[in-house]
Amino acid sequence: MTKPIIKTLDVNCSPEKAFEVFVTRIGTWWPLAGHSSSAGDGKAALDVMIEPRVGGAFFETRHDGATDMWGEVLEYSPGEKFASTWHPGNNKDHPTRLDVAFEAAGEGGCRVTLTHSGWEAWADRAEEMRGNYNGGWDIVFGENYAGAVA
Amino acid sequence: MTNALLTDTITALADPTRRAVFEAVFRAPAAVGDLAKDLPVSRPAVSQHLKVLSDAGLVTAHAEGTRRIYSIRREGLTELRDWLDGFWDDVLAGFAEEIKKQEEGDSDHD
Repeated sequence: MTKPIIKTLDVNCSPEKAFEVFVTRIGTWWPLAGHSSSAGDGKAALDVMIEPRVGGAFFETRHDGATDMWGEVLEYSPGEKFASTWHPGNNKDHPTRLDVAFEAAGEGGCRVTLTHSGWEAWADRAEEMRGNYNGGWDIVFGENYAGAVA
Repeated sequence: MTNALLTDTITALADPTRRAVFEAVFRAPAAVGDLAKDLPVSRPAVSQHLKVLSDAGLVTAHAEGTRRIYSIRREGLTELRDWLDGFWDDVLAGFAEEIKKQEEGDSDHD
């Protein structure tokens, strides 16, 4: 089984605040220019939004105003936990899963743990897709790069 | 992983022939002669590819009698994998920056 990607980050604020910024203000800090479906066209996305409820949409507003669905909210517990399916870029048939947990840590701090799992949705392409998780194998080993470093 | 080593690692694996050598070593530790037998590459060329892979931290060698046996260096792959997981690192860096901005107060805002 393909292992989840797990990232942890300690921030200097309460879990409630961290959750609020992560989920409800995602459009203010998400790297829209590099990590969006719009980025594939070389243009920054206009916005990313998460509808604040279970069953809500997690979506990008592309540079041309079109919507790209990234996932559906599975868990919504302010100050504690956010989870969604994750299938940006027309990969609805292969939803992986995103979990973001917020826990108090140290003096007034918060540990944010992001887990990207469910690679089995890609069956025999799981390792490839996991590896592709940006900056991926295609870029590393693709002909463009091979040409550039030759 | 330092940027220089990362560049070496990626450059080492960008060459298809060198990648074939690496994959062969990955399947089973082997000596230069064994690798040259199984690949459409001369023995000196295999040696040269192994040297590049070794410098990039992807393979390591140990002596068995008069032979040098090459095997993969798992730490090298872990470092590469960590870097490939960079999507979420970038995203979380953006998030951390925003939290920092907020905690520093409104006076720092535009």
